Amino acid sequence: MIDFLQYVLDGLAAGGLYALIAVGYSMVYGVLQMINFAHGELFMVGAYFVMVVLNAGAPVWVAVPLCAVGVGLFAVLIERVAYRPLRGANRLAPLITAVGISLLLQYSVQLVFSPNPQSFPYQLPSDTIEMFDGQIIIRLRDIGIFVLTLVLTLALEVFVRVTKPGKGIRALAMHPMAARFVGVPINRTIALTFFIGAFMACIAGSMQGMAVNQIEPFMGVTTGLKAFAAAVLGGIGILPGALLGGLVLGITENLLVGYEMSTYKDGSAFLILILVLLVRPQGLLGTTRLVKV
Amino acid sequence: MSDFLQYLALPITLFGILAIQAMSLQLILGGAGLLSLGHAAYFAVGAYASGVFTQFVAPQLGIANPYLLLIGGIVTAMIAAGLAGLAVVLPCLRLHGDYLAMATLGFGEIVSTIFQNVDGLGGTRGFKDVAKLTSPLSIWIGVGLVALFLHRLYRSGLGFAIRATRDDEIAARSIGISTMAAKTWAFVIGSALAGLAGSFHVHTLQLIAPTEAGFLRSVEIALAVVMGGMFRISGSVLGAFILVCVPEVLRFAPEAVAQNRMLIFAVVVILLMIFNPQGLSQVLLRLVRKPRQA
Repeated sequence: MIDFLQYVLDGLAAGGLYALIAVGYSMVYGVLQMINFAHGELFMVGAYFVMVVLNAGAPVWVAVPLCAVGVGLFAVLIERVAYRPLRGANRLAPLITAVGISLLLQYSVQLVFSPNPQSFPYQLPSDTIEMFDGQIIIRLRDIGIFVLTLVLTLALEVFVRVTKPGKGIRALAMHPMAARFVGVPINRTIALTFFIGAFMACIAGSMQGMAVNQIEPFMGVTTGLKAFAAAVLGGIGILPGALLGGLVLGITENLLVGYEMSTYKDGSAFLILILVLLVRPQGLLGTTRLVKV
Repeated sequence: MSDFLQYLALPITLFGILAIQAMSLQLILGGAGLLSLGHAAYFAVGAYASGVFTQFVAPQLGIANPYLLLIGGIVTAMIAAGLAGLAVVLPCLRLHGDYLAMATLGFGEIVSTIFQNVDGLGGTRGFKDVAKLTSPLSIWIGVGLVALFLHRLYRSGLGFAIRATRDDEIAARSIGISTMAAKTWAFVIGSALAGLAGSFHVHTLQLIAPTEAGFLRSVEIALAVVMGGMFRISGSVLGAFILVCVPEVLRFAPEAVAQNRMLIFAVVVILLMIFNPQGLSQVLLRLVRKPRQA
């Protein structure tokens, strides 16, 4: 039982990172009904970007927000160049373009920084605290990442509920045509959605770099796919859903590793995804919509 | 010259295999309009099944003739892949559009994880040293047969039902088409054909690795279908041609280009999609057919 609790606590940080990435998938899907497969690559690009800025001598508290904004703008550029021209086309065209973008990003980073893993210039302290007479060991950085995730998701939830641009995002997700009628600036709102998603992904990427101390050009592939599974698991388009889905995945993976079934770790995310979809096709927190003729 | 022909044999074979994969997915994506992002899973299931048949089952039955072996492998592969397709589609049919895409994507990753953990079939290193039974000729006969089969299928009653379901599910149901049956058949036939490609793959390269079931391979197949033009069988063949040949041709380009061929390939994909979301076969048709007089 005490082992179980330990594994759950270990999973919180991983789950938080999944959640931060999942937010981007979820928001873009909510607004455009498009699966942005290049999103995992923004997580990777963010980590590299932060690494470059840190190497240039900037302190961490400047580098991370600065790069998050930079990667956000980069995502807006990608949307403008690669996705917007395809908005009216069939569903698959933007999907394939997104795959093209992710290949482009992977191989560009590989070209600039070599395919080898790079060590990250800044590490989060690995202090631990012990509980129950040392039976449970908690890494402070895990708690930090988890709290940061909570704060960011909460801030985002407040942003989309209270502010005008945020309400625009929700309106667009509810009914694109009605949103246009009431004067929501469609293009700007979509750009904002991409910006927020990439902002979060960049923060997740830098956290990953600081915690694991290693980044490589293909780190976004599996992490991105799993974060996407997390977004669907919680109910795609719903922000607390992304958080819940991320935590469920992160904790499950850590439980599998803990109970020595780590070779099944990569498949587990998707098994949970399918099981949930079979019982609740709309995800854990989703709601169904009636189809009318 | 003969060196060059020998070199060409591999790309031509790979082109043929990818063409079968792409055509099999075309039936699901373009024909039935079902978003499947786990198509490589059925391919891998077919490849493993075929390998198991020729390596473990056939010696027990005393089959040694390479043609019989290949045919037995193909039949096993198609049945296994078809059943895998059925296992996915039956529970997932009530999922619509993108949710189906997510479930199929997940299935592909699960299949990949399972094969990684089956030590009797090579585990993560993959199933190696399978007998080589194919030639470029037999693969291209396969390509021709699949194309002919799909061509006939689209003109059959079932083919019309499949396409009607794609175009408007509610309208199709209202005129008495069983849309569930149409989708199921399209998915199962598509999966079985992917199994055929798997059988060819494993008996050509003599190896199948668990990663072949994963998302990246599925995306590659979808790339071929969509780039070529997802509503035409010929589009899939064209897409497979581009996917195999562009990186291959770039290999001969100056070094700076050759080293970054994946980068260039990515740019080509993006530009093709942005300027021509209908797929390349549409462009070629426009060039071939004379403009109609108004």
